[in-house]
This record gives sequence, structure tokens and C-alpha cells, in this order.
Amino acid sequence: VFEGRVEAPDYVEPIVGWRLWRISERGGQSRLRSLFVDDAWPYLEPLEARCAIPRLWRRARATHPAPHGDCDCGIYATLWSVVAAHLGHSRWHRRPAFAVGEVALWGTVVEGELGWRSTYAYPQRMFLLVPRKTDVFHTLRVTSDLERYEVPVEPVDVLGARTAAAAIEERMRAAV
Amino acid sequence: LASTVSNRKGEDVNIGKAIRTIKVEPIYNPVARLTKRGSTRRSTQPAPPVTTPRR
Repeated sequence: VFEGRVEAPDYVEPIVGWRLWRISERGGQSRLRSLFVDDAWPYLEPLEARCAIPRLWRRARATHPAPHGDCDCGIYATLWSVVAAHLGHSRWHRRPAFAVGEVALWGTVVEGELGWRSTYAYPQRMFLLVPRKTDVFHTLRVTSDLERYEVPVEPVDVLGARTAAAAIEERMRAAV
Repeated sequence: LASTVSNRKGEDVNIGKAIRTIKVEPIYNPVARLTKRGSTRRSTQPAPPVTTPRR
């Protein structure tokens, strides 16, 4: 006998999207961080969303679980085509401080025209964006730290918009 | 890109207009599956960066 309402999930497999991370070093270890919210992605635990949007900007004023349909909160992921188009921006070329990759999303998921916002997320595969003239030992150390997420991590040279995206597409095709 | 990167209200890129809200409950734990599998960690050094033609 069930008491209360039982809601069946819409999907029983996580949604997989693409996103960019910045990489920060604290305590001598590299970790993934969200681009605009100072959240470190924990090793071997899902990142849980929280609404970090200043109250003045919120459309839903009360504190709410993230994501909320009337807010912009949640953990973001988008389509590969959107990420690929962003790879040409010079900010990714300055130093090996960014990664791009696939991320699993689950919990409450707000589906948008170009991507998703979710309650929980964990990376599935990462490509470390390596600009030219980067010290190879630094790249190896960052790659090794990111492998603590227990997902595949591959360094990819960033020489330009199309080349970075093309290199990642090549790796993805090889993995199929 | 400028419009999405400067959109600090949201976390990352602009994903466009919200279409619907869905409930996703994986029948397996996406993180536990990775750690249980354990085969994603390579025993050798990471591969060197991909070299692509310079434009």
C-alpha cells in the first residue's frame, strides 16, 4: 500500500551533455571548478546544485531547490555544437586552465533549447585544453590530478577554434 | 560567446529558453559505476597532446 504520491521518473539513465570547466590548483592539486560559480567538483562524488543567484536577480524569490524552472540555477551542460563553437575563444588558449568534456546529469533536470540544468552532475570524460608552449610536465601533472575523477582524461592541443574541436571529434570517433 | 560568458546569472553557457522539467533517476549510481569499473584509470603515462595542423 502506497501512501502519498509516487512519481515515476521520466528517464532512468542520466542525460549526458557537454560543458567547460576551469581548473584550479589548491593545496597542490588540480580540480575542476565551474566557470562562474566558485564550486569545486568533488572527486568521486556528484556535485549537487545550489541556487547561487543573488536574490535581487531571482524571479522565484523564496529559497528553492536547484534547478528551478523560474530561476537560472542548476548545473549546466549543453550540446557539443555549442561547446565546439566556444573553443575558438582566446580565453581557453592562455594556459592549461580549462577542460571540456561530457558530464552526466540527473535529479531534477530543466531542459532548454540548447542544453540542460540539473540537480546532480559528474564528469564522464574530459579533454584538457593545452595551449602551445605549455610545459609538458605541468600538463602531465594536471592530467594525473584530473584522473582522480576516475574518468578518461586526454590532453588536447589548442591551436585554434576548428583544430581543437576537430581534435576532440577525432578522439570521440576513435572511442566509438 | 560574449553574451553567454557574461551571463553570470547562470552558471555557465546560455542554454536557451526552458522547455520542460523532467525527473531523471538513474537505475545505477553514475559515480559508483565509474569507481566500480575502475578500468578508466590508465596504468601508463597519459598520451601526449594531439598535434593538429596549424592554420
